[in-house]
Amino acid sequence: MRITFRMLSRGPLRNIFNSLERLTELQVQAGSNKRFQVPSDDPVSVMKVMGYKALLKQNENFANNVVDAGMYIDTIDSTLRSVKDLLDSAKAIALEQRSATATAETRRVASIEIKGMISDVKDLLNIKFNGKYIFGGHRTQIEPFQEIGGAIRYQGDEGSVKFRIGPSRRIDVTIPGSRFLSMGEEYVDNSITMSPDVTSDTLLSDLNNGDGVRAGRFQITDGDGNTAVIDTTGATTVRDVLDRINRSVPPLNLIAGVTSSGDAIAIQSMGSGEITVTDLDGGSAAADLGIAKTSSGGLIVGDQLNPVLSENTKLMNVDSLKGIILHGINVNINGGSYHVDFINPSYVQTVKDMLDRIMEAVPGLNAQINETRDGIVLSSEIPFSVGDSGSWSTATDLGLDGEAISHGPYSLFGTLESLENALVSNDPEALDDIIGEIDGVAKNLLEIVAEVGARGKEVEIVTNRLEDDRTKLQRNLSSIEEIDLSDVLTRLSQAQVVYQAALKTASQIYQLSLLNFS
Amino acid sequence: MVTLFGLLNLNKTSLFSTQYALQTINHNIANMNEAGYSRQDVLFRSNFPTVTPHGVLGNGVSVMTIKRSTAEFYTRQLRRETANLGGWDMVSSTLSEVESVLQEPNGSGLADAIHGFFEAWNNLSVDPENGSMRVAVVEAANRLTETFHSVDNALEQITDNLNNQISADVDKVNNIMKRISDINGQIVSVESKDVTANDLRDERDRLLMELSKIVKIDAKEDRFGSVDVYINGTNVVHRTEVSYLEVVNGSDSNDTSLLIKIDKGDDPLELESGELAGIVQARDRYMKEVRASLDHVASVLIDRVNELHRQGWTPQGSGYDFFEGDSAGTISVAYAIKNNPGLVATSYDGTVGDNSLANDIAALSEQAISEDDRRTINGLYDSVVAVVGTYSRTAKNMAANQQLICENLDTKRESIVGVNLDEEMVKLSQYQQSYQAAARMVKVVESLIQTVIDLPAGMY
Repeated sequence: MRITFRMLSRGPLRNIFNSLERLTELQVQAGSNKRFQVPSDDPVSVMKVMGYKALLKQNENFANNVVDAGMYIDTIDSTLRSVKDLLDSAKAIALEQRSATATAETRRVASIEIKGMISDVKDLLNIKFNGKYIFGGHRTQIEPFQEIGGAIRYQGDEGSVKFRIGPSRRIDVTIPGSRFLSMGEEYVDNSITMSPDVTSDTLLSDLNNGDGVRAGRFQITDGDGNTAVIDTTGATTVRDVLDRINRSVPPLNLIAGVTSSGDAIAIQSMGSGEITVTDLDGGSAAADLGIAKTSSGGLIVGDQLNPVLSENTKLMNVDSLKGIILHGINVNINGGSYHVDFINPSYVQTVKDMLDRIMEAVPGLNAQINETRDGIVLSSEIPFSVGDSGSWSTATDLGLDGEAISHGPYSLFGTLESLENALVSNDPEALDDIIGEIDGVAKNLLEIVAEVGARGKEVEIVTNRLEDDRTKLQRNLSSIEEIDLSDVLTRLSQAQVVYQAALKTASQIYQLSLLNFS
Repeated sequence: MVTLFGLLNLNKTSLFSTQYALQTINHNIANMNEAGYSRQDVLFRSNFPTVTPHGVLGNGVSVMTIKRSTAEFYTRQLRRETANLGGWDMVSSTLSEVESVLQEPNGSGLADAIHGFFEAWNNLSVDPENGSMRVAVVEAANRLTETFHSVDNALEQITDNLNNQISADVDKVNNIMKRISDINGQIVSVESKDVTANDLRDERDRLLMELSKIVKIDAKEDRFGSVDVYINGTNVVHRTEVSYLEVVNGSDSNDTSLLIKIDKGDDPLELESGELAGIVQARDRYMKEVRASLDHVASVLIDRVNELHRQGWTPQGSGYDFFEGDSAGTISVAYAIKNNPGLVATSYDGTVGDNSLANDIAALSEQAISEDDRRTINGLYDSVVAVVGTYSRTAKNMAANQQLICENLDTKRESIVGVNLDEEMVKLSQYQQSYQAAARMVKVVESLIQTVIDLPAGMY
């Protein structure tokens, strides 16, 4: 190709421009630590970067919110725990003042104490956090509990403040005070006392109406004059105790067992003479087992042991159910009618079987052993009724038939106020009901505390997740957006070399001409 | 018959021809840096010989013509590619401007302002009782609307500049066409004497190239040496006559965009390539699309926020729209709210601690804008940026490629018509030698004549 003077000057010039441009580009990258300056440098990556930045921004918002949420929830948690403590004290006072030793005067003094507690609970629930009354529902700017006409009245609403902690996740950060107004629930208590037999499997702790048997040592002397010391420490069932008697060292000439009526322990001598059972060390193990006696005619029949119902109790061992086949019951709840079948797919054997069968069959119904452990109770937060199924009388047999009786709603302050009134008016009979009410309120309060605890857990999980997400997002963002410094610096020095070479070539080319030689 | 004086005359033709050559070399060297200059060469011709009884006797040399080297093939190609380059350059520089207006991804552009707006709502959602949070929401919303306005204004400015550029370019085109027609006249007049008007042709080629950068042309030379120029098949320069381009307003009164017509022709020109075509494309395709998609972002934002905010209640009033307007240029915080941040609603029922509405508005930033379009509001804007980036990148690449093509063609053309100094130097010494030889010849003849003169009388 013919090379002309203009080509000679233009070629090197373009090289110089190109390498200078490359050099500048790399310098900008190195200086800004960013791979691109404008969208056209890499449109796809720029879009990704903007997406990640948006996600980071959201993450930041959620992280801020979740920190706030955590503080609210902690505050609620500690407040409710304090309220629960006060409620426990109130119950203790109520129990004390119901007892025979209490007098009108002690009740009057106690009423003052309760009055103080009411005020304390009010102050606790009127807590203001971050400018909000957190127990006032959405009415966060007025004291939610105010004394009006001598009673505490709720001034808030039923709203709940929620914070955003995820794109479609919101967490409640307040508890509306209205929830303290209707506490308690509906339940059917069976009216038949279910007293189970003592069997060798019966737990020692279930005996004596649930008071149990205190561990200790007792000695048994048989008719032949052999004496053995029995230690009940570590024994959990009736069988454990019987085994220790029957396999005593030295061996005793007697047999211990459960009476045929299933309500006590009996010890039968195999020889002649009297048997004597005596507690040792001032203990009461033998007394608790009802056998601390001397036999007459070689047989000790123990006192009634009155075991309470446990989940493992076999239904056939329950006095009131002996000889009865349990077919099933019907439950009407929430507009639906449910049949609980006790025979299919398998016959219910234990109390637990029956309770599980009921809870499986009926949504929203809770079945458990009652507090006195002499029967079962069905409960729900909504009204329901229980009836016999077909021609069978199972519900009646179990004593469960009938409408659920509403226990409650009790209000937190209402209950405390009626306690105060009962004490002021020196009315110990009323205290019984009030203690029940306090239990209902306390049970609900614990449920709320558990709910708040679950929220606290959620806050913790979300906090960790947001942190993880942020780390990941930032890593992704850096990997797209930021330069690899060593790489850029290497290329920068390469570009410098190229630039210098271009300059040098150009300067030398211009010197070459025939003009210089003629 | 050979005479001594005849010899002198013959020498004269040699000296004159060599001087022509030297002058042309001089001309070449003088113009070697000038773009568009085509190197010239002197072509010689032996003079018509004398027929003698002894044979055909040479009569020296004379200049046949001064030839201008041409590379018509490359020149045509270069014109076409220059037109393409002009178009892409225009589109590319326009889109670069749009990119710098958007200030993404590292600056504080609309993406930031949208984030800021929703962040303010988020902060309000955790603290709806706090009046200063409401003020912050209004502040953030003001910043957002102002950012929308400034971006929109800047884009409008770019469009205006494009329109101004159209007028300027059309003036330039008309000016060039006028000069081409003038040169046509001069060339025809010079070349009627059977010589080529080298430097005038260079000048006309330069003008044609300049014209090509602005608008794609076809150029056809007729047998008299005049060039006819066509735009879109219409003959705009015919010998010395010119049909000028003119700029007219858009089809309706609202349309401020300028159109180009030829000499009161009916239809606006649909230009194919060249700077003017690039301007029209940048204005009518890219700028319109970018502005429309920004308007879409703004209107989605306005609609989505208003839809929720209208359901809001505050102690001071209810049912207010949060934003007014329907586009990037008109979006603004509703007048009532701007003057009274207390009207910023956080609640559906007006309860002071209820933040459910604030939550819902803050959540807009994370939600898909509709069932059919699963992008978020920010995502919608991100894709505007990505689209601009993609267009700009394509235009940049096309312009760079076109630049390369043009440089290649120019190099090829230059290698044919350009001046090589060494070549000229060689020719210089060549003609120096031949001039010296001719001069020597004169001296020899002169001494011969002297010899004759000095012959003693009576020698005849």
